[in-house]
This record gives sequence, structure tokens and C-alpha cells, in this order.
Amino acid sequence: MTITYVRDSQTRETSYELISERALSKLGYQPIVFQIGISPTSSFDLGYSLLYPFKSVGSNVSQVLNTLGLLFDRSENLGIGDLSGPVGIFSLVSQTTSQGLLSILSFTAFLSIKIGLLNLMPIPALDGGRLVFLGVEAITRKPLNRKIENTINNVMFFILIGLFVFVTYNDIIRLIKG
Amino acid sequence: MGFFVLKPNLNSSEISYVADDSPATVFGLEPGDIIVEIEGQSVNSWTDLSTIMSNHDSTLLSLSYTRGGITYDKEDISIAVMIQTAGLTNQKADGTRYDIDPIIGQATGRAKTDGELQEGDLITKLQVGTHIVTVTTWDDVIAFLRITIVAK
Repeated sequence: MTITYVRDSQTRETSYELISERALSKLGYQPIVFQIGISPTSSFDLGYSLLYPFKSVGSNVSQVLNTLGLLFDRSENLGIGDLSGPVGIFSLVSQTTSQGLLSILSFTAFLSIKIGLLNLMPIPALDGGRLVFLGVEAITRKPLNRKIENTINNVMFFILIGLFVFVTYNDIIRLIKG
Repeated sequence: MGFFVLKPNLNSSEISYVADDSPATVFGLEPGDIIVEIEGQSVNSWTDLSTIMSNHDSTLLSLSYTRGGITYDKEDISIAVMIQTAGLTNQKADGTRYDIDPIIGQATGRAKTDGELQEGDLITKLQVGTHIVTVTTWDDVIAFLRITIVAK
């Protein structure tokens, strides 16, 4: 989208890509949202309270999977530059703290689910990768060559650290730019 | 933790909470008020309210509510719009809004990083692909983006 706008009585032009409706709805947002600032009445309901944790974990898991899916979806323009790393998460937390204890607790739970899921991905150097190696061992009934396993783990470890540095750099730039 | 979470009552349009400095305070809404009409359409539940708001297309809103048997009608009060697809909103960081003129209150995400837009910028023209439109109100911006979102 290209926007023509006026700043300090000067006409300027800028352009950037819109986020598609499909990507937004996968992440649980509507493309255009109106807000008045009111909430409905609510009451304690045992069934709702008992079901809530399961629903909430379910929606967190699907949000993580959807985000990952969108990153690898070539028809969407969401890229690695939109990723939020450790520092990005921190600035998200400080925005959440203004909404009270309950939101911090649910955000912490969401983070923990997210990190747990990522750790289970079949990537060498993570627990998910270790599980794959163990699975191979269980099927072949022979131990894998430890040297090869260690080399794969070490190489992946450095790639992950590289990604970590990249994402942190993006986050710091985001903090500086405000 | 689930026990701290109360079930929202979506079968009623009674308000339990009004955010500080929100459009609701301009409408004069208070907890306990019941919304009966939005934009001429009758409202009987919170679900009705959400449906009407998701099809709404203006930064101005007319709303009627009852308190103690008396009905209050409020017309054309400015509300906040967040254009998530473009990272733009008419609401400033301090909670006040630009109601008619398409002046940016806050730019988020790519609108800020790639577009370098900021509070106070007045939008005059939009282009997506071959669609070009001159805008003079937030409603023009909303209408244009609604069409281009569907066209995509």
C-alpha cells in the first residue's frame, strides 16, 4: 500500500505491505476493529472455569502452530523480520503488566507453552532432536555414531545461536526506534 | 487460575465495566447501563452488539441505552478504530481520538518501521495495486481498505 500524507505542511509518500486478512484471522485478529471501551457482565460458572484452562492451552498451542505455519507460507509476506525474540518478549511483558496480575499469569503460561512446543520440535540440539535420535535408535536397535550425532548437534547449536543474535538485534533496534 | 476467570454473560447487553478516557465515557455510559440500540438496530445481547460493531464502517457511532427506565440517545460520538491490516489507528497514545480527519493517532508494526508514519500525519491518498483513492475522512480510509481487503 502506498500512502500519501501531510506532515509539517509538506506532502510526503511512503509505502509498506499490508498484512493479509487471512494471516490476521489465523492469529485471531480482525482486519478492522472498532472499540468503545465497555465489557459485558460476567459471573462465576464452575463448568466454564474447569474447561477454561484446556481451551486456553488449546488456543495457545494453535496460535504458536499458526504463527510457525505463516512464517513458512510463501503466499504470506510475514518474514523473519516480524519475529519477536527474547527482548521483544520483554517489551511485550511490560505492556501486559499495566493490565493486572491475571494477564501477567496468563502471559507467563503462554510463554511457557510456546517455549515447550519449540523445544519439542525435531531440531538437533533441542530436546525434540534428541527424541528423534532416540527414536531412530529404538527402531534400528543400534546406537547411533556418537561422533556424527555430536557434530550435528554442535552445528545446529551455532545456527540457533546465530538466529538468537539476529532476533535480539531486531528487538534492540525496535526498542531504540520505539 | 481458571477459577479467577468469570464467564462473560453474552445473553445480556448490560455493561459491567467502562474503560477510563474511552469513547464509552463520552457516551456517558456507566456500569449497569443496558445498551438497547446501535446505529438504529436493536440490541438484545452482547452477541448482537459484537455483530453490529464488526460490520460498522465509521469512526462515528450512534447508540441508545437505558438507565433506571430512562432511555438516553447519543448520536455521532467518535469511537476508536484500529486498522490492524495496515497498523493504523485514530486513537492517540493518551487515549484521545482524531474523529473525522484521517490523522494518524498511532502507527504500529510495519506502518511505523517500514512506513515511518507517526502521530499527526494527515492521510490524503491511498493506493493498493491499481486502486487509488483520495481520502478526506477516516470513513474514506475504512471504506477503501474494506474493499481492498476483499479484493485481495
